[in-house]
Amino acid sequence: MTTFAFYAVIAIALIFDFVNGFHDAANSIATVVATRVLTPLQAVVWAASFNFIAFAVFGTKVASAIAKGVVDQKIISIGVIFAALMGAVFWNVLTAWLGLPSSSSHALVGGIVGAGVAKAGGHVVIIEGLRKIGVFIIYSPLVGVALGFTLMIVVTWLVVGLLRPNGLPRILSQVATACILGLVLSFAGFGLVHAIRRQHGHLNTTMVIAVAAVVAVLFMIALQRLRKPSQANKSFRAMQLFSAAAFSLGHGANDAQKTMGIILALLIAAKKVKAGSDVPTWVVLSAHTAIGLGTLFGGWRIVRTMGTKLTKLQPMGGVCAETAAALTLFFTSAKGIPVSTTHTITGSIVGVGTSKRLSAVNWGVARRVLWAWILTIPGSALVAAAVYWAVHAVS
Amino acid sequence: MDRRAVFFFAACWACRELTLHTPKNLRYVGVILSIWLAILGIASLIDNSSRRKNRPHRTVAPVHIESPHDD
Repeated sequence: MTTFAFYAVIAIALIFDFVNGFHDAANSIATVVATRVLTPLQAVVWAASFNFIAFAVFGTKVASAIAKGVVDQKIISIGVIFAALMGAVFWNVLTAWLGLPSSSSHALVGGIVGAGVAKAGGHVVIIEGLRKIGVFIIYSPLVGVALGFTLMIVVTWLVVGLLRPNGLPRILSQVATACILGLVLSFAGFGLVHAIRRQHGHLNTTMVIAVAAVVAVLFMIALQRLRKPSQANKSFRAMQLFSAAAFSLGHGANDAQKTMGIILALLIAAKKVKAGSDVPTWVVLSAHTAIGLGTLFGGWRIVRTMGTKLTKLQPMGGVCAETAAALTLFFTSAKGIPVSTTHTITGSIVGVGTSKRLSAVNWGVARRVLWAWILTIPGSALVAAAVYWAVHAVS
Repeated sequence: MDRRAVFFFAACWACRELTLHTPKNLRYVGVILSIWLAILGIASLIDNSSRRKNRPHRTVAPVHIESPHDD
């Protein structure tokens, strides 16, 4: 019975991950579909691939934060994990039915807290870990706003300069754009290889700068041809592929790790792995596969509606919003902080919209995020506690 | 007052308050973010005031009302 329950809870955790991919696919590829760079099916395959690849790039700090940093590990049992997952799932279904905003990530954290407190009381909550998650619920969309706004302003300045007929502003914009693109691509390329090889320490700066200089010169040559706004628009359409990939990478890294954390906690509770050990490779691979498959199977239906809703977002704005959200997710994943990917991309889109004017933003969406901040953790905690008590009474 | 600047200053204030509750090893995120949002608020104020200055003054053309007794 215990073995069956153990595997059943792992299956529920993976289904939770699958549903997360199913719902969140729209966030990463809606702009690519809206601007018709890719068809919905191509976009979903693109996002799912990067969701999966994330396992090779990022570590498992977020998983450890979920498994060991929310409630005391000693009280975690199969029942607690089951109640936490059911609490998160019920809360998501309930809020969807009532039309209230929610976040799967916060619901999962609330579920763990609720089930843990229901089992052993309030003293089991790790205040420091919960505080870290709590403050980043608010920080992550605000970082998205600030980064999205700043990127949009800088990119607009550069494009305006590049499209001037001739003169110093055009040359300065060309040099700045070439240098920025060279450095970004060089750092991203070396960083990716560095992370995949699991190398520790700093990158070889001389090598990075040398490659950046070569890439910058190539971009300088390419930018000489840029004369018309339609050409700039075409370039941004192509760049959306990379920004969407970066966001999918960040989404895979942060959201798949939450499920990994749940399974890791379960493995520790069942004494299948030691308390201080890392996440087993099969857990990492299965979590990334589940989120990738969720994106692949369900996302395209949502993308079709999201894609048409977001037609007002131009390719340039899409690139800036996705890049801002991806950078926020890279940072939080590297620091082991679980955040809501939906709230992060919402913040970035708000930042990009605000760069035009405040009224360009659909503040109804922002208001929903605010309500989700307030409601999700307490609500899912209550539901998880109720599930734990119900299961405890029955068994 | 510029509404966008008010939004950035409010976000800056929220970050400033949150910094006090942030774990010590991550406090720099709140500090950097609040300074960043304050700069964006100031930049937004400057942008708004320069737009107002550059906006051309509307001059209302004198309207000649024809009286039925003119002729």
